[in-house]
Amino acid sequence: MNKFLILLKKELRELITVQTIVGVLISLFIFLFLGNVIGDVTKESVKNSSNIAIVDLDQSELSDTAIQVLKQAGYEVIILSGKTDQENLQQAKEHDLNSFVEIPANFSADIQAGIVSNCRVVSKMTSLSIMSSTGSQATSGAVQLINEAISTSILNQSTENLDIAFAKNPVASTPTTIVGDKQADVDSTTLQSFSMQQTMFIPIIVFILITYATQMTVSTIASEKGDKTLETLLSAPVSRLAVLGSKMCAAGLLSLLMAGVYMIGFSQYMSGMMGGASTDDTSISNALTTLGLNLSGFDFVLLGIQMFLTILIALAASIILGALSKDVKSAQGLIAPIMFLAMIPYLITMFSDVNKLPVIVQILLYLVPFTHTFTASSNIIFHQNAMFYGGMLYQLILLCVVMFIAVKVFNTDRIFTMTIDFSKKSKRKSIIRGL
Amino acid sequence: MSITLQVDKLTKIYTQAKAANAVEFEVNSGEIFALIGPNGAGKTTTLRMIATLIKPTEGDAYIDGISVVKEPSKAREKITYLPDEAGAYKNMTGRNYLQFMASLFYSDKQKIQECVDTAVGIADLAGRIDDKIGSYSRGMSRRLLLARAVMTKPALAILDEPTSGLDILNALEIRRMIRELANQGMSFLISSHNMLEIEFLSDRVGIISGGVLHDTGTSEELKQKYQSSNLEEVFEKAVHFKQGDNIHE
Repeated sequence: MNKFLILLKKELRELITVQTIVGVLISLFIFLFLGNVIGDVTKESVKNSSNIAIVDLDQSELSDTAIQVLKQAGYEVIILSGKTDQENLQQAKEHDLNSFVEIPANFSADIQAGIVSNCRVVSKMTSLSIMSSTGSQATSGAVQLINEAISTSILNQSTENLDIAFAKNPVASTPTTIVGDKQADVDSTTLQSFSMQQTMFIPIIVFILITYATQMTVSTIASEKGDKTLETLLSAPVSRLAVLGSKMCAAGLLSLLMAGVYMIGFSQYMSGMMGGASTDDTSISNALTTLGLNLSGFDFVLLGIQMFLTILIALAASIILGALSKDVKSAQGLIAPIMFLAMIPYLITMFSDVNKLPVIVQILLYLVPFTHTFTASSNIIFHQNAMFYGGMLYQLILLCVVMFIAVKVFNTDRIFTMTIDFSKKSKRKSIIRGL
Repeated sequence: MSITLQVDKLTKIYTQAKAANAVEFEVNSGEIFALIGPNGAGKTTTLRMIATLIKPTEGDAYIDGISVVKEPSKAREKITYLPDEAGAYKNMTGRNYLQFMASLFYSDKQKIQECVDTAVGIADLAGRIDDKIGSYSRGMSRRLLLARAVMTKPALAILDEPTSGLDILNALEIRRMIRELANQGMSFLISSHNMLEIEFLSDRVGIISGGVLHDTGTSEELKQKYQSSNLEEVFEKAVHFKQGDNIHE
């Protein structure tokens, strides 16, 4: 056989291990899972975007024409009859909609008088995810459609004194966004993207920290085991808990330092990005304050606590994995489960609101401790206190459990006698060494 | 001569194997006691149990009368352990490593400095002591680690395969260092599968195989008992004798 082929065969044998294949299969499974989840959410959004909720305060022939225009365009129109915005939103919610168009009482009169009529587009914001704003975008699109239809009608009945500007845009939309019991006259899509830009760096930092802290801890312990410096250390007059604690604290402190650096870096990056759009900043900032969408100092403290809990869970889990690894190379493979557990909720929470996913997916996601961190800022902003504090409590309980296991592993012979090595072809996962 | 280490029926049972089976021996003060046996004989397991790293399933060991099972923290103050093929923190300099390890034993700065000075002298790395350990050769690392193991003047230094992987000159130097320290009163428990080396280094020898300590004695006593010319032959006969085979001379 050609020597090159012999060498190639040997390289492939070294690269294609059970560990590699499992990693690839898990990645494939994750992306299929994510594709299905995001696909379902997208389908739901597309389905909902063909539904439109209307409040017709005018009840005129012209407003009826406007509604017929929407129906002809393929919209399924739902007529709301609430007396307040909240009542109308409640009725819209029954049809899985979070926004509606309000045709004003003087709609017909204004247009006949040549005055631009303002239709209110009222949206309820419940999440900062990308898919959450598709409903209100569809509602705004509906107003645009009404505008175009009435404009065509006016132009067809043109008179000599036609005001071209009015004829082109006889109908305008006035956005109103409602969060809880507060409201502001700002478009929810703009608010959503602005608010998301302000808070999007938190999940990114969490993801980076989990990756960094995990790799650092697993590698440290695996290399200490491999070099047998751990045996030297643990035979010295120092308690094992002190060794374990010092490792966790050092990794925790370094992670916090990293968090600080990333926080400063990202806020600078964000303020740089926002600099270009400074004209509207004040009004949007005011709207965010009115709606309570800004994070206060206390909110940041809460987020910081949750982020720290997350890092501690990742560190404790890494200590267990590092202790069970044979060497640094096998340790890298053992990190994969934590990485996947961080990646799945990170991507899903970015695109969709977890609470709107199928129940089974919600349960699976909320079992992953990192999901609570990725949804933390959204939960704080939208005052979903039960979700936030419940998540924090769950993380605390899980931390205790993982810490207990880490202490058990560190305090017993297992730290020296147990290894998991997926690169071995042997079916035995637990290999007793050093007899 | 006082007893530094008393090993009393130390047993370690793993799920599928008996790694050490009621191992019993003593190490006197200033004595070099060597456990000899092939790979997988139970040497490291026995050493690890005495070094308080793993817990015995049964039995106990006493270092200057302190139980490694009941008072492992106190026992650790009396011992140092050098694992087989151990490394050190590659990003530390030799001196920093010695300071770090000494500070785990003592909090008094003067005492720490004394330990470091002793170790620097034993390691004999000259200017390289302030270089990063990552740049050391295998022999240099081993000398540094041995110096670390003895700098605190422990009652018992446990050395697992102290010369494993070293060239002849480095191995000779390490053996000389161990002998000198033993002459000064330090006790050593060492393990090796190199029986010829042990014959020259140790005061007494324990023959271990399959987790069972078959016999103990000085090299001369054992050679006489088994009518052999060297420890390798002694080992073969001792193991077969215990298993009930005939001794073929």
